[in-house]
Amino acid sequence: MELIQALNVQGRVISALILRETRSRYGDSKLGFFWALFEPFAHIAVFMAIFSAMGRGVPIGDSMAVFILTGIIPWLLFNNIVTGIMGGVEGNQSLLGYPQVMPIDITLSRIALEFSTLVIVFLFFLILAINFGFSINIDDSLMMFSSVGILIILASGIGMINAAIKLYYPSYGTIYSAFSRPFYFMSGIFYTADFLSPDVLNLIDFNPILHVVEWFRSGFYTSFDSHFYDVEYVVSVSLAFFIIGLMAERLTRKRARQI
Amino acid sequence: MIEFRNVNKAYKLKDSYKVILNNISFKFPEKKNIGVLGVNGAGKSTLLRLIAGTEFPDSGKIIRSGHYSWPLGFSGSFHPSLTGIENLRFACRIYGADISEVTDYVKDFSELGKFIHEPIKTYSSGMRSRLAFALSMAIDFDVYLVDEIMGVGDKGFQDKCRTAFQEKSEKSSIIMVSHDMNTIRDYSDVALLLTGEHLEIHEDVDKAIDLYNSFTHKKQ
Repeated sequence: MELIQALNVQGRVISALILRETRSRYGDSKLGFFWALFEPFAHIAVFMAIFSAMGRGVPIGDSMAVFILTGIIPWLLFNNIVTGIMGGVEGNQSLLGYPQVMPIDITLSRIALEFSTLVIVFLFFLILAINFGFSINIDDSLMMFSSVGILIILASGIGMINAAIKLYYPSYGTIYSAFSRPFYFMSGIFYTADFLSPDVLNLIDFNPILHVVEWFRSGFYTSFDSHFYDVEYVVSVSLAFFIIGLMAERLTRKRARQI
Repeated sequence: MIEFRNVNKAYKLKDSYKVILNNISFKFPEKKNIGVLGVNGAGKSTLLRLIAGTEFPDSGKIIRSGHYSWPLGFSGSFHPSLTGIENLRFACRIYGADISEVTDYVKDFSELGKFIHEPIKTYSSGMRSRLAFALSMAIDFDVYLVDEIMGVGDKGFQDKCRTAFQEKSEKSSIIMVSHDMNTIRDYSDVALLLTGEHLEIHEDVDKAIDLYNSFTHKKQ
């Protein structure tokens, strides 16, 4: 009974927070949603310009734009969830003045917002691609959802760990963003794993995001089935980060309210 | 009902600790309006936040039953970049209150006029407290936790607050912190004296105020 009541309160808090976050990001100006669409568009445009100058062909499928889209969406999902969680408490500090609002609720609401934003953005670009005459046949949507689900768990774990560290070292945000930048190039956004030489692949195959992108594309493309990604590895790494993240959140909960 | 069991609370300063509560076990008198007295920095606001549950004790247990308000204070729980109405809706959602009923009540009570559609960061502290007060009155609580915001506004608004409380006095009580002794006298049935680490309850509010004044004699 008490548990049901507590879950009921938490459900109310999370839905109120989702509405609040959505409103402040997309409510007043059109700029918010424009940015959500522009960001992946900019990445796609830059890579397309580079590759057409190099004369490189499309690794999979008939559209370079769709290929990069299937890499940039998982990357942005990961990155936006991590940074969203890191800035969550800061952006909602005053709302922690309500006893039933917990930092974890802010985290959950930000995950929901980032996820739904990118689902809409992804669908938007797919429809656009269809209108441009490219054929989109999704091979295995369950596979795509599984890879995204694991990616969310991974990103949430890392986001919560980062948020905890940031409570003690505010400048950690800059350090993290510098540290995470190389991962952009190590995550298979604009190439597939078998495009890389074995030596290079050996260096970066620890990166779980690379596995997720390969997994995601294997679900998306009928003509592509990656032999590279290791589900067991990604799931265990993600769960490990997630559990550590939850512990970090638990340990720093008092401090989050005092700043 | 609120009870502290072996509660410890201290703040870390640069190289020492400021002790607010030192192993306190205390049962708050029920259904009484309590005025909290204590010199600056004794931890009155912290005490309210501990009661509300927005802050946790370092050790010990706080047992609470009933419906407590958030601590109604100047710094408040309003999000500065959201408007008054948006903050109101947020509070309604998390407390499960009816948004349109609360909106009507708050618009009428707070006298904020068009400002209710402006971001909170543009509000004066008086406007913030009027909104906080009106909003908390619109949502039914068993205990209202009031941090300093009583006694703001003009005489008319103060009378309105008093009447609102009197209407609620059968069901609800109040735990308040104020520097204004007249406000404490007005509202409190008992006084709680926070004397650095200890809590003392005084049935006689006037006597408690005298005692408090003797602590702060230098200032007065």
